[in-house]
Amino acid sequence: MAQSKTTARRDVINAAALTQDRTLSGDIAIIGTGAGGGVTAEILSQAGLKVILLEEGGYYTAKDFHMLESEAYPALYYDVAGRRTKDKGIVILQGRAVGGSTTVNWTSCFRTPPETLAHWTEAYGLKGFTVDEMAPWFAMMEKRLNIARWEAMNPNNDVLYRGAQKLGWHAATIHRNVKACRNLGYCGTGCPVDAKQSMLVTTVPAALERGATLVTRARAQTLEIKGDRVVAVHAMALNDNGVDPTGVQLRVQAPHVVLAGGGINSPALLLRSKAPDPHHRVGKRTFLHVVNASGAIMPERINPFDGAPQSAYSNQFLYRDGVTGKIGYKLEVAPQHPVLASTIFTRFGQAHADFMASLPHFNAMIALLRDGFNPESEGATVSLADDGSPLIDYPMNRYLWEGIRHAYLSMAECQFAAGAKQVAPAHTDAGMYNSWSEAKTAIEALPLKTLHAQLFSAHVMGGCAMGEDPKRSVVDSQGKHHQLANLWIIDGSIFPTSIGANPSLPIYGMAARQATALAGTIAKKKATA
Amino acid sequence: MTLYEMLENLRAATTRRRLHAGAHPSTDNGATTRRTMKTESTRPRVHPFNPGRRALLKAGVAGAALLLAGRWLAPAFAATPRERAYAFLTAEDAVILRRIAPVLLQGALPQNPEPQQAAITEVIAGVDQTSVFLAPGVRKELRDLFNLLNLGVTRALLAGVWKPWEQASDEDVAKFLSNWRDSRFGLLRSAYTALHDLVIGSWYSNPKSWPRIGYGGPPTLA
Repeated sequence: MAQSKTTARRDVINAAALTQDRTLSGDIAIIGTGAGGGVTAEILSQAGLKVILLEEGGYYTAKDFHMLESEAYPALYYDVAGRRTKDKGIVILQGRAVGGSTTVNWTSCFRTPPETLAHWTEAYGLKGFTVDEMAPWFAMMEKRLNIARWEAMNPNNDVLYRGAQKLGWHAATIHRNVKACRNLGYCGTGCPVDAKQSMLVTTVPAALERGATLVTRARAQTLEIKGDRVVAVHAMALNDNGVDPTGVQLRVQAPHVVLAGGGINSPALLLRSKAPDPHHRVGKRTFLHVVNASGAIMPERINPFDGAPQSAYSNQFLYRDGVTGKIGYKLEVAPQHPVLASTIFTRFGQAHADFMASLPHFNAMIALLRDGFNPESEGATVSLADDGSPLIDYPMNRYLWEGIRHAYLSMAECQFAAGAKQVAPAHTDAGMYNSWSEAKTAIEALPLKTLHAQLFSAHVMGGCAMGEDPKRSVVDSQGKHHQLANLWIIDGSIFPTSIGANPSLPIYGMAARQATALAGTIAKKKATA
Repeated sequence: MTLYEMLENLRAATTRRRLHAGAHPSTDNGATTRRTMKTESTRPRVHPFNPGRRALLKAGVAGAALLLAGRWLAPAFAATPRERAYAFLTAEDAVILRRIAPVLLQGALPQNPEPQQAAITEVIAGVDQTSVFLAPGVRKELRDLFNLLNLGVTRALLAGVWKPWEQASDEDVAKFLSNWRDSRFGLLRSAYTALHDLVIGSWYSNPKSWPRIGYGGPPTLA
């Protein structure tokens, strides 16, 4: 995939092509162009500030997106869509491109659940995060990104919807951030028709129109800190594979800095920078919405590669034991394209070939575990490997496994209720089960261990938690760093827990509020200066 | 998990087994192991068969020592020039992949020998291209894995393949893959996953694999 040529008017620098070190300066440096950085860039450039955007990934646009896994996974995701936790137990799908994960996400939009907002307000003392206070910001972003209910449910999603309804469970339709969507089903490989209202086609171009500078293939390496201020951001240029440094260094100077690298990358940058962290909070409580999956063979063709990837969900078990009790989970389905499907089935040889031949009949249901709401769920710790890259250590425990087993059971029950011929939990020791009762008995006996149960994540949250108590958090409710006077963090890394729903809209809405407040703070400073 | 953590696992497992058998773990050996692990970044300084290593072998952690050998002997073996066609893989890696790909993908590849070999060539090229996009740390782990499979002694003791890869039968390879898939060691399970995902993923990213599985490819945009 070739990076897009940039139009003359827009100031886009592909750092891979630089042969000499560069220094850039502006009013504000924003590190990352995903859900947090994109929204922040638009709002601050609208406020008349000169924005410098640093992005580790490449600048690809619709014409580069050919709906091919072979092109998209290496170009648009960390580790070819196979970033993993330290013990390899959890696969993390995380975008690495202009637009961040919004360029490759499945467009499912939910406001932060009221239960989560209430928990944040009560347990973490967050200010401005009540349902009423957040509602206008969500409404603003829903309008900006054309977020609306999606009615054209594909047969893959209908397995969940139908199964849940048959069982008398909660079932509902998902809202999506799309405009003139052609229902192709290739959100995960980059939208080829610019229907998806990702940061790539909305906020980032809007910021560029207002004079922002975007530097791509530039990995922010460290913040240069003097006293209580960030005086510069140091970035390294990466070559066209998006991984290896070219040796060219970039230095960005701005009186204000916004870190928006997302969970994993934002805390890793603070750790590399040896940023003040008197209470050792950086990298702690990183949440993944740990996902387990259940495969079903449906009697009819459902072509799980066609149509909007996600349109149905069930919250039946989201609060099965209240907000802070046993871990709850949201049920959704995952689209299936050949490569993704081929890695879910861990056997090999003829068994694998036979499984793949059933792809048009294959339904993969997923359960997103709502981590971080109970003392038994502290999530992952991000630390640094010898080369300064982030390591994500997510220890599983009995509390989490109980939820995983419960979810395996629910998913199998739902799939059989929807008419599945066979169901197989995504687990190395599981077989193909022909009935709900057979599945139930088998799942109850499955050994639940890392690298046996296949675990995934597409939602990286936390690691730089918000809170009003500096002993328990990295930034305050506005995203302002507790110790550094001119550093803000505005991305999913500041969530004090996971969300309990796909986190894109929760980031958009929060970023809109925090960036607007930041613009006001900077304007006030300028006026008094 | 790095090979060194694997080593720790193996050592812990061995120690547990020896404790079970009533043997006494020697603190000296433990110290040797720890010291050895710290030399991770300075690979060939210690000769693989120096007394320290022999002590490890004597202590009953042969597997661990062999893992170390896999890493430290590798540079000598890798001195064979790489095939220019590859960005990451060595010619030796390609030999391994050519042997394991038809077993991983049994029933999925073209039946006739000539198109099957051509398909495998494309699978190997796909694995190579994918590897370039992995983070350096992940590439290093993959390099360790291939080195371990390349070295006769580790291939035999850890993979259970006692013949050179070219001579290994489908049954030998299938047994190796099954053993790693179901291993009680996390590192071997994850190594299997890496091989599985790289090789199988490479084939299913190839449009030639699609007609058999009822996938028509991306829709055409009118």
